[in-house]
Amino acid sequence: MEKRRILVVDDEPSITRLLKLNLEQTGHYVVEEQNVATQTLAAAETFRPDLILLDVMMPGVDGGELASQLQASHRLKRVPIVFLTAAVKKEEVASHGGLIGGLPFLAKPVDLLEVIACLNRHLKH
Amino acid sequence: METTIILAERKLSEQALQESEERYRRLLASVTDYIYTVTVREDRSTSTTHGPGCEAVTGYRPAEFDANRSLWYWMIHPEDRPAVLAQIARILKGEAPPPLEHRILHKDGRTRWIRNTSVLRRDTQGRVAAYDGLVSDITERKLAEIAVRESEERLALVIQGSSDGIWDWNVTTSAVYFSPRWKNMLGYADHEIENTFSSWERLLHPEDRERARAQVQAYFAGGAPTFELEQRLRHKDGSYRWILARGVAIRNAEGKPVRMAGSHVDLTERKQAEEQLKRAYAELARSQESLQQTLEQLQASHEELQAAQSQLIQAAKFESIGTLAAGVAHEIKNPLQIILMGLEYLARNVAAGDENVALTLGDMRSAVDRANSVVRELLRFSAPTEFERKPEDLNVLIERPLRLIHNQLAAARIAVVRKLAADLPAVTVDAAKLEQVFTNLFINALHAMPQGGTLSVGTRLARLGEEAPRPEALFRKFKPGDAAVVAEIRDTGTGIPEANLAKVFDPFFTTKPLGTGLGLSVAKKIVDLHGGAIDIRNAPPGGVVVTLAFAAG
Repeated sequence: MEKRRILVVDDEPSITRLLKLNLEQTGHYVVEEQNVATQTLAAAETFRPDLILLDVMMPGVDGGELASQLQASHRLKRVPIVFLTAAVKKEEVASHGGLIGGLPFLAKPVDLLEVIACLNRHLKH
Repeated sequence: METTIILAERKLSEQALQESEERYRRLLASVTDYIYTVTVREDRSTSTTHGPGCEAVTGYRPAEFDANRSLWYWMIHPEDRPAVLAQIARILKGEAPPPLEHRILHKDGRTRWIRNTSVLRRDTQGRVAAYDGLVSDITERKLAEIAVRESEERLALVIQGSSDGIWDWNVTTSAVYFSPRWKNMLGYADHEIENTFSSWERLLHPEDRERARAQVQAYFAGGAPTFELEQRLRHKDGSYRWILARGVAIRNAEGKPVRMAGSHVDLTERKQAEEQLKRAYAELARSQESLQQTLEQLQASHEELQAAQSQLIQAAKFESIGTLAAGVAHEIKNPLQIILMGLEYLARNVAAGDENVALTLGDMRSAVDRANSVVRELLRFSAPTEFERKPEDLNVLIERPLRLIHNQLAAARIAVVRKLAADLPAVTVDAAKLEQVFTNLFINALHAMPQGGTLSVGTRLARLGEEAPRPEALFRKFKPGDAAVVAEIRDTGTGIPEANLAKVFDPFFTTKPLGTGLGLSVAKKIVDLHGGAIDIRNAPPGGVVVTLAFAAG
């Protein structure tokens, strides 16, 4: 089975690095890290991810705005985006069926199993 | 013998004489008149004889007048002497003047009034030969006359000088005397109002007629010692004056009033002043009332302001805590994410079999969970709260959380005793939020009884009288007359050290090893924002009682 390509965008390198380590260790994912929000669009167009894990609060650009830019791109508009955020409480994510503003959310801190479950739900097969 | 008879006869006649004289004296003493005779020759009086009664009237005996021929003159009161001399002159001229009343000085020094009537006697040639005078003591009558005159003068003066009008009504003939002042009070001159009863009736205000008539009749029928009537009489200028009539009736032997007299006092100014006073008083009462209302409104606004202020302070506190909490949450959650991911990586990649490593990783994992739950509670505590309030049955809001932790309570060997009042009025609350409060309180109770015990849950309706039910602190927010639905949760645990009681509602204050210190703070916040009250205290013989109160309705 082909490995799924995940782009992880977060201004904290430790988070992107540990997500990459953990996800790739499962043998099912290829993970590209992006710590500079403003370079996300370019990075995504190069990497061609199957799904983007996107932090919400980053310096320079807001995750929500970045998501609109990504969805506006002709080549990326079909790529699912999952927000990964410290700004929202777990209960809120749960009470909205994991969706806020129409997009799925993961509330930090989130463990690997939850991340994988979420990826499975939103990756296109 | 003869001599003896003669002597005896003389004695008898002397005795008879004595008796006769005695009778005469007694007669004289009761006489108030005497006669004198003046003999006249050539128009001059030549001698005067005074009749025996003179002593009773003047105090002087006839002999004293004979001894002193001018005594009669000196006896006349000096002020009256000219009149007497003039009278004599007229008589000597042959006139017949009318009787003269004048004063004399009695021998005892007192002044007496006499009436002197003279009658001429003429000789054959028609010349004045003498005149006889009849002197009558009229002192009693004269003094009475003077007294009457003085009394009348005094009355006249009083009537004239008085500001009261005087009236005197002959009930039998309907004639009435109205004093000039009586008429003047109504703007009329004395001659402008006829002195008849109908004059008064004409001037009387039509609306007062019936009452006046009734009052007169009631007075005539007896009862009151004096007559009083407040009436309106028409002034000459057309206005009506308020007049107070006061009077007293004179009644005949049958008790029927024959005459009534009294006064009139103009009450118009007094009435006007009374009216003004009444109006001023009413005005004052009105202003007082409006002042009172303003005060009450002010008081109410002040209380609202205070409540708003304290809510604002509370809100500001919550808002700053909220802002802080959101910032802190973000800054903590990222490191927690790193630690969590790191732990998971390590757990998979550290050589298996080292039990200590596994334990350490497990501890670290639960530390992450704990830190995360603190952050979560903090966010919940500080989150802006929006309530969905509906009328709810507090018993139901207690029952649901009780069922949810039923298993935990059973496992801890805690018996649940319910004393929930039936027919409680509804409370308007956010059901989910209150259930959260009760859940927190039940879990606290559960933690307070690790060795098992009893959890008692009661509800009741409290009506606030002049004194608040106990605990009083709980009912400070309520006013007398309010109805409050009260819930009471009691455990049989170890209680709270007194030193900690004041701090139990402080955020992050906890005595539990794994507690966040936010459970009771959140509970209090929710209760406060519902306008309710919560009180927590140790309850003898042991354990804690938490009491909550919400306004009914």
